[in-house]
Amino acid sequence: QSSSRRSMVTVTQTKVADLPVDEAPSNEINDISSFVQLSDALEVTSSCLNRVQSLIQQRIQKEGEESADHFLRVFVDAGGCSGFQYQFEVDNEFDEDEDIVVVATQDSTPRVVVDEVSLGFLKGSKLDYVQEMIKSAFVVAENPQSESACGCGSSFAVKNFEANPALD
Amino acid sequence: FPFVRVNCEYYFNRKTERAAERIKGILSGDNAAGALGIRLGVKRRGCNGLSYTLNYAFEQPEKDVEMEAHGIKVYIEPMALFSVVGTTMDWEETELASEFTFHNPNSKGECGCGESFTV
Repeated sequence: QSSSRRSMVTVTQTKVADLPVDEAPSNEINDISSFVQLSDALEVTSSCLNRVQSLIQQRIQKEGEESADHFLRVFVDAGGCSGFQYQFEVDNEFDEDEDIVVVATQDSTPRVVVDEVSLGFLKGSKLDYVQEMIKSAFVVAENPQSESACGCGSSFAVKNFEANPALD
Repeated sequence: FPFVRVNCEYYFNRKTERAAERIKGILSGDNAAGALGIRLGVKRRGCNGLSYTLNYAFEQPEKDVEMEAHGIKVYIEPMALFSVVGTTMDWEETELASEFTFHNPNSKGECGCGESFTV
C-alpha cells in the first residue's frame, strides 16, 4: 500500500474552547441565532452551525452571492472498516423528493440537509463540529443506530442490520 | 542513545511550513502559556494498531528526542520513535476538516479513515 497516503489523528483533549479564537479559522462567531431547526431527528450543535455559517460566508466571499444557497449535506455511505461511513459535503442541489432540511435560516434557505435514506441511519445522533489540537472536523456522535465504530468515528456498523428500515 | 538521537534529527519530521505555522498558532494560544513545544507520540488505538497523538510539552521531557523545525520545538516520545521515523507532518485544511496529516514511509497499512496505521 502506498505509504504516502495520509493518516491522521485525534486523541488530544484540547477542545475548541481551549483554543484561542484567532488561531482557529473556523472559530469566528457568526450570527446563528436566526437558524431554525426544522427536524428533530438530529441534534445539531451550535459549533456545527457556526462552522456551516463560516463555510458559506467564505464561499460567498470567494464566489459571490450565488453561493448563499449552499448547505452542509450529511450522508451515509457504504465503506470504512465497520461497513458504513459518515460523509459530509457542501452542496447546493436540493432534491425535493428525498432531502430533508434539518436546519434552515429564517428565510428557509437550507443550511443542514440529510437525505431520507441516510436519516434512517442517523436518527437520534448528534451532529457536531469538533475542534481539537490535532484535528477539527464535522462528526456524527452518539448515533443510537451504531453498534460499533471505528477508532476515528467516521465508520460504523449498524445495529440489527437486517431489520433496519433504512435498507430496502 | 545518542546514536538514535542523531539518526532522528537527521530523518525526523521534515515538517512542512504549514504545519509549523499551525503549531506556532497553537503555541501562541492562552492554553499553551509556558509550553516549550509540542509532543508527538503514538497510542495503541483504532483498527489498524496505532494512532498519532499531539500534546503540549510544558517541561522538557527527559527521554524524548528533541528536534527543531522552522523555529518550533517538537518532542518525540521515546515509545513513538520507531513508528514515526521519517514521517513528514503536514497541516491540511479543507472546508469540512482541518487536520494534521502524517506521511509515514514505514506505514504498512492504514485504516479507511486514515486515523490508525501499522508499522
